[in-house]
Amino acid sequence: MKKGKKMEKIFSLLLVLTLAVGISACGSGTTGKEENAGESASRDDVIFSISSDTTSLDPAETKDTVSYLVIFQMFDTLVREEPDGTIAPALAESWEWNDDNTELTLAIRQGVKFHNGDEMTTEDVAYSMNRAIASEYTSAVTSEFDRMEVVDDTHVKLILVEPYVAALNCLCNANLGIVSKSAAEEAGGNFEENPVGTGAYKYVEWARGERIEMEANEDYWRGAPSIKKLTFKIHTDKSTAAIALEKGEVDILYYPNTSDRTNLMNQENITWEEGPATTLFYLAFNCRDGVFANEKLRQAVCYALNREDIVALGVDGLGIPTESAIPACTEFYKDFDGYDQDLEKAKALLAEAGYPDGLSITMKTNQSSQYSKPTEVIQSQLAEVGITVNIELMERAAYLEETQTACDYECTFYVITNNITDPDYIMTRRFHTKMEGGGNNFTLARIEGLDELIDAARGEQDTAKRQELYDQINELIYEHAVIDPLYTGMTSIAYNSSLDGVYCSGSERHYVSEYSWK
Amino acid sequence: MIKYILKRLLMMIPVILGISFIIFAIMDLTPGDPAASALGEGSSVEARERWREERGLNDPFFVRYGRFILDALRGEFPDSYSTNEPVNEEVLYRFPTTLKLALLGTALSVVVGVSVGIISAVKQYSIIDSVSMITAMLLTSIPAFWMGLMLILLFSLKLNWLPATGIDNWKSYILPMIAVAINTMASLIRLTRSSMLEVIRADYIRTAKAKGATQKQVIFKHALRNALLPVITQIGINFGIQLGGAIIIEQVFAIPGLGTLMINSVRLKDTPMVMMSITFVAIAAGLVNLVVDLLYTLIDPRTKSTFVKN
Repeated sequence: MKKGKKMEKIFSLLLVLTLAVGISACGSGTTGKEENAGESASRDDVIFSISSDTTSLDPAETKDTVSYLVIFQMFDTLVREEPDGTIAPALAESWEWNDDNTELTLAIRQGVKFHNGDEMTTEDVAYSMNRAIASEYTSAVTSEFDRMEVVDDTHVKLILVEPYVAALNCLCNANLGIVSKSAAEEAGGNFEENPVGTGAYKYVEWARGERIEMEANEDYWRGAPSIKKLTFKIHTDKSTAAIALEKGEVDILYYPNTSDRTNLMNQENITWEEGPATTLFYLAFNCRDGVFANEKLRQAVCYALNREDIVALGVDGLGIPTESAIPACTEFYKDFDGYDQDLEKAKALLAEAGYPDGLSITMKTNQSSQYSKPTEVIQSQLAEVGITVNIELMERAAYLEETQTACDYECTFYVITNNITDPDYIMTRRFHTKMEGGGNNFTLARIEGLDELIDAARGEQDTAKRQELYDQINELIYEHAVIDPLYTGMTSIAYNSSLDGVYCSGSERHYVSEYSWK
Repeated sequence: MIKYILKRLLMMIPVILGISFIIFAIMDLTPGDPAASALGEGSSVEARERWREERGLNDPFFVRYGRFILDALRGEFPDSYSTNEPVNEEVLYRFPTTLKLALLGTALSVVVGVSVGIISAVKQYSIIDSVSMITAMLLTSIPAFWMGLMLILLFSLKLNWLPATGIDNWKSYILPMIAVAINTMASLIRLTRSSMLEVIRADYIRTAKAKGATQKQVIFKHALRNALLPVITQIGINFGIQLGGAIIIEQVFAIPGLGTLMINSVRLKDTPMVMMSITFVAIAAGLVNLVVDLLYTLIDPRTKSTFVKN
């Protein structure tokens, strides 16, 4: 009898446990609202799917494209990059360079309100800029900035370390969004959780790892946005996100998987758009240490490669073959005639380089299929001229440390992403000798005259002259085969067809304030 | 009995310390610079150096490990390398979701697994038995994440009965719960069945039947209690597995739990976050195993004697 009672006790305990968990599961749940996949005419909200959480809501403490996307909705910059790549006024209405291009004076728009109702002043602008300059996260765009000073109630002055015409392009970057000085000082380290900017959307809530909620800023200086509620939902698995888009649980899918391309393109209610990105995929050589210090060998390899095949087989055609060391979607990019496939020349150069019977080399690569597949194609192409390639797959962090920081590699296939639409960022970081090692210049080439050309182009205001300088730089890189540019990457976006105003942006600029439901 | 519980809790401490040391060493030995992950590829060498100095990353290994442990004991937790917020906040915020998922999965696998196992054993060699065995074999072989995706495709996309992602309401827990339970459910079916079969053949069952006990009494009063002993141990072990499995399921269903946090932190080499999350999971698994062992004594009074020192 006693035993029977005990058994009952256990079962009832289990039952109660299950019930308790079940009830708590009911009680939880954040919004409890049913997803509205219905009539778009009555909707005024947008749900945006992103694949990782933003690292911070403080513009000065972020550095990845997803964070930039989120930040751009809440903060404005002094100037803005338009879809066609030009730079247009934003919080700055006009600007003027001084004679030697070391100082930029900007006229600040008046009457702009922050989300907390305060009016934006030149004090806020200078404060934001100096704050960003001091932050470790923004060195990619602020390394040439010394400081910003308030001139008067309507003007600020940006003082540069050296002549740097790309400063304007840098000012388009989300890192330099303008924040409210009083709010930032009051919040101290917690500003990232209580962000106050001038953007089209105001911060509402951030449930880390899950979603970020914003509501429209009715006093937005460009006019109140038509989308009143914006939610960023985090879906780490992009296949699941694609399903969510098909079901109408989300409205836009940021940077979808290429594997979902055909499926999503065939859906009637979904629009897929793709276009060139600010990324250049290329073959890099270690020009200082190892077999590839031999210039003829580098040239031989360049002549062996066929870009069209690499794109077709390595990335399923989602790339645009290019021969310029400057990525597409960047200013001063133009068609350039580089190394075209010529197997006879390749073999001849190999012999001249001292390897008439071919040789064995090692290619380290990031194990992600985005890099490993094209590497395999390169491997098979080089085999045709007698070069045996051993591929060494590595995890991302290990790969970056060995190839880019320690420069311990022979040749490798990788990508350059341009943070700003000016070529100087790439040219200086990747090819200037002062940037050797540390994850920047890892080709370690010593080409006579290259440094001088890059320095001259950085400070040249005249666009025609600057174009000429970059053409010469491209010539030098090509002549000495420092790298072999292969193709421009592509970016894509998939969204509910009833949403108007969405476009594919090479530099990932998406302004939800311009969207509306049809 | 209380002494036993306290002893077990004390024994957990060296285990947790050992785990933390191993994880710390692994994170330290793996290549990759957390500064580069935190500040981005475009950051300057000086910025990265400054970032590392600020966090004391240039100190020797044991100094860093010692600092982490001593601070943790004082209740001061380090900031995450990626969010710059104290790690315990984020982990405590996310842990309940994963725990809920693991508990639901365990509950489902127990309820279904044990019941089907009992029915299979009692009706051995019948159609029900064969079907359950084949199903169990299939379920063990199916990877949970694939199952998760298939469930989404069928119930969410095709039939539109349930949501695909997130944790907005109770309906969102159903598919993930099933995905988490699948593998362990299968093993429980088989284990319960074989355990029951073994017990049914025992002498005391024959005696009970001879004494005139009904079928129901034989199963529930006599056989089940003994058969459940190995099953309960397995459930305790399964919970640990489920906690781990929940990590993968979270990725598939976009559930913001501890699993996704752990994976991201490992990728970013965010050592404080990894340490905190794994320590949490280890403590949870340890506590559950303790509860399971105690549950044992309720079912089998004979084991009580091993817990009480005479």
